[in-house]
Amino acid sequence: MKTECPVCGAAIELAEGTVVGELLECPDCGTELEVVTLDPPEVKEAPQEEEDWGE
Amino acid sequence: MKDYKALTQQYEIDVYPRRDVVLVKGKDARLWDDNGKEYIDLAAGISVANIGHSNEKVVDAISKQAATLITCANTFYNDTKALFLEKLFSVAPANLTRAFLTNSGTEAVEAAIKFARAVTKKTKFIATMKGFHGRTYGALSATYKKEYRDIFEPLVPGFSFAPYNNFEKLSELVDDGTAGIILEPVQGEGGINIGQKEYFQKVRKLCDEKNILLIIDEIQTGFCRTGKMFAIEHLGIEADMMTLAKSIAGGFPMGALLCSDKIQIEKGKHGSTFGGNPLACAAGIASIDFMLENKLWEQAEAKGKYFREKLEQHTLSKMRELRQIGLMIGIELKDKSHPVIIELLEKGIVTLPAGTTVLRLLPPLVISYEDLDTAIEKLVEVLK
Repeated sequence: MKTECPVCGAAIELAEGTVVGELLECPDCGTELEVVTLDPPEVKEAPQEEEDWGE
Repeated sequence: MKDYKALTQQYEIDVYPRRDVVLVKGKDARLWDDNGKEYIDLAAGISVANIGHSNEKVVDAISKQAATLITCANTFYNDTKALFLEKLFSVAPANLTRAFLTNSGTEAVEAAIKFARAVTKKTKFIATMKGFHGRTYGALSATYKKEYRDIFEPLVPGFSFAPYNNFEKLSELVDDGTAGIILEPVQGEGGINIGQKEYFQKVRKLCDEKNILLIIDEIQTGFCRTGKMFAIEHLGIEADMMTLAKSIAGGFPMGALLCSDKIQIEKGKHGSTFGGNPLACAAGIASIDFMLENKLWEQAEAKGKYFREKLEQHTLSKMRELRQIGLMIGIELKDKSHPVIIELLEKGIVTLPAGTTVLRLLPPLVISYEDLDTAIEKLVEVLK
């Protein structure tokens, strides 16, 4: 299943067994994406929450 | 007993999304909270306590130095600093010959950006998407994540970002104004993304052809974490500058920028009050001595391999991918890592996030195989 990154337009391949709500990253721009639907395959930018911090 | 959480919440600027635990004590790869609960540490204070918490050699060195001389202006020579520099360069890549000493990683990155501008007389820099280099203005300008940047803009101009491990996209950003390219050998905060040898070798060649300085950020990867003293040793290249911090002094705040002979800076153009102070240098000598005496890079290599082999024996439905080099481990999940981190904490295991979906494990390199087994058991319970 193929779709594209809503931020940079890069091709996003959804692996077999992917489920709605799953999170993944755009391989090009690194944007965190959430799977919205599988038929048709569609992703949106995942909401960022404050606990998703790092260093 | 004082309410430590309430006091902190009352008086500290609230920039840290905190766990609901008050840590009060550490030893090797164990931590304890104020209720006496014991934890196995798989974070090491974000790769700081590589030689273990409250390492006896470091405690002893700091105690002795504190009783002798705590501070010394950098306009004077100091015996402990001289000995630390000698020790540091005994383990550093051979082409790096001089250091600027700092108190943190971000200051080391700041110095690298300033020195690159000064040496090349150019002003542009290329960094990578998902890269993290620090929070001060120069370092933040090289850091990708927009949530760290947005409210502080405008940042230092001239920074652009290419996808990590993608030489073609990076080379498209290079022009006559490019002073430096800054890369992590393994992206830590970005999700434990491991740098490809061929990519780094192509970048090195490009830098040589275009008179660009290559800055390798080893703040998180340095000092045995990846199974080598420095991760650059996996890549077969030389850096023009290398940033160090985190585990350099056993947990005592310290950083360093190591420079090749290309880097020449005039007197008075840069400096630091506390950088390379006697206490930090004493801790640094003890820390590096401990790494050498215990061949800590070999321990990281063996324990990382052991962890991978043991974890891969299990089917983990929440895991998408395991990325590991030495004891630098990223478990990419199919969902947010935060709930997993909290569940593990309740089970007595301290872990870290790396972005939204990656569980980052950076245990002290002295962690026992028994503690690794316990940690793997708990991980399996949470991720199955």
